[in-house]
Amino acid sequence: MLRFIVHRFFGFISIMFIVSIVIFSITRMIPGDPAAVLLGPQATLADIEAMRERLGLNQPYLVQYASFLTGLLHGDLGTSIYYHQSVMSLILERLPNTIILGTTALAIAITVAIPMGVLSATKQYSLWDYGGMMVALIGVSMPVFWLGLMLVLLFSVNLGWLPATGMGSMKEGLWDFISHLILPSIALSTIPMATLARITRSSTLEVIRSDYVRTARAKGLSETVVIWKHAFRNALIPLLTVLGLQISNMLSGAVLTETIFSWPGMGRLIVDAIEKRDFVMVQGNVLFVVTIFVTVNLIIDILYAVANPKISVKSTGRE
Amino acid sequence: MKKSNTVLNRLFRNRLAIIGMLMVFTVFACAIFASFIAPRDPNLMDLANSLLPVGSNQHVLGTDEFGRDLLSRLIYGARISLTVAVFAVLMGGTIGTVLGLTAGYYGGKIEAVTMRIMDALFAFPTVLLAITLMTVLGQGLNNLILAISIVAIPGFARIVRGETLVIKNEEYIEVIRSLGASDARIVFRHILPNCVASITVYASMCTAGAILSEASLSFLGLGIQPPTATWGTILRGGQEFLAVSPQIATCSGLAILITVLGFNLFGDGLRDALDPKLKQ
Repeated sequence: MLRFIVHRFFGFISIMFIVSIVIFSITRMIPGDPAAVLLGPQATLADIEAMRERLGLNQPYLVQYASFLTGLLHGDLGTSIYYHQSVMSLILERLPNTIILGTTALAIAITVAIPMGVLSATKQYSLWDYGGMMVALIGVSMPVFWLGLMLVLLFSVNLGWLPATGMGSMKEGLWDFISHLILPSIALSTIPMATLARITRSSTLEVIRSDYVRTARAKGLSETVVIWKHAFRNALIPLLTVLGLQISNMLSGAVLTETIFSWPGMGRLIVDAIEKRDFVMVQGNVLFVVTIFVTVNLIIDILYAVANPKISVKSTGRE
Repeated sequence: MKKSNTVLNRLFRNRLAIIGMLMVFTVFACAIFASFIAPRDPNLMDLANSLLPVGSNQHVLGTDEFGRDLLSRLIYGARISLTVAVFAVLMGGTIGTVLGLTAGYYGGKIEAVTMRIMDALFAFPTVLLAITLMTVLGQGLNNLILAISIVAIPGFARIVRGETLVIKNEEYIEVIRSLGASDARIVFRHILPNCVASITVYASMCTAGAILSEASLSFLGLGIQPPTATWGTILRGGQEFLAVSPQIATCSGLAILITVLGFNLFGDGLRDALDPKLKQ
């Protein structure tokens, strides 16, 4: 197991190293002089030179990369060109809001997807199955920003039940906080919900055909106990991996959802940075998001191996 | 020949796949024959008739804030969305396939380096990678295609590498090699044709993703710029008039949904037809 963890950890380091090169290279792909592009057409030569100096663009690429990497290792993602503040401090300011939105969306997704997937599997080829999987397929195909707008149209514009934008405050009461959270979290939960439902169905179908489930039934256990206590527990393992991948979808979705609902999170910060062409901010945010995603998947890989030791043997090639 | 007939039979017996195919064909037809189907010029402004509702005289789906015919803009929007998606998938698919074939066939350090880079690209949430690329490259059709194609590369590379690893160890490949065939001949004449099925299924799903990416980037203002009609830009414009003209946002979103759903249904059906064991 230790060998597996060390193996995975080195994989994590190498991926993060390549990610840092990719992000560094992308930001150097700006056509022409990045300093001139950032300052706009009215900038004087002196301004451009000062900006080049500030961004370290006068130094050779290797030196620039070394300084970028050293900064990263110290948790320094650079200084925002627009806000003139540390990118990391701006991210940490907004991160809790994205976590609130993301975890609520994930909770909704899991709560709906798992019963839906299990029901589809246990009633395979029934109306429940076709209906549930069709809804899941529509969920995967739906643009998250469009669903957000449709929710606003129905629940805010037409019915006037829920606020259309912004984040509520606990100081204004619990309902203010929850009412602002409902629509964005439903919008953000759709894609993970649909994907999880499809995976739950296929992994449950695989398990309910196995011998031990047949034995459990033969012992006279009720169908509820057979499904939820015996079958579902084992079907849960592949779900873990998919759940890790869904975090990537959620982080992408957060950019669009937070834009629609003016939610003051990291996604909104990225969109603001794009509008202001603050590429240091975009690069810092993207790097932060990728680090979260890779770390979460590393943890899930390890948890998966703990739950199923065969994985660690296979992955390290000791068969 | 027999195998392909069986696959086609299975595909055409799948009702959902047929529905998906019909949806995709309809959108392609709209894109190709837009100039014949669209009732008006999609960029023709008529400020006196702005924000007309659905069912207005001469404007079936109403008009936008500049009085442009919404139906015509949606029909022309199909052209841009499909152009971006198809070219991005072709470009990303070709590069990813070549990388996957090379990595899988040669193995060793080539495979290790290529697949590590692919893993790193895979670590980026797709929309975020596309956003970063577009922020740097700037707006425009070519840059949009380039950004989305880069996002598509790692998926193709992984799938093709996996297939190549299996096929290259088959006995017939050993026989061909012993007969003196070159590496290029083995890879392109014997391994690649056997990967086509998986590539086609993934390409179908990837096209759906590319349409969503294009719409997302245009919605964020990073993709195609107005007045060119794309579903993402129409939706972005409709957001401001949600209360007075909800059909602008509703119809453009539905166009995206129908197209993406069509590609997904077709991709699912094709996958099931190629490997019935997966149909669970």
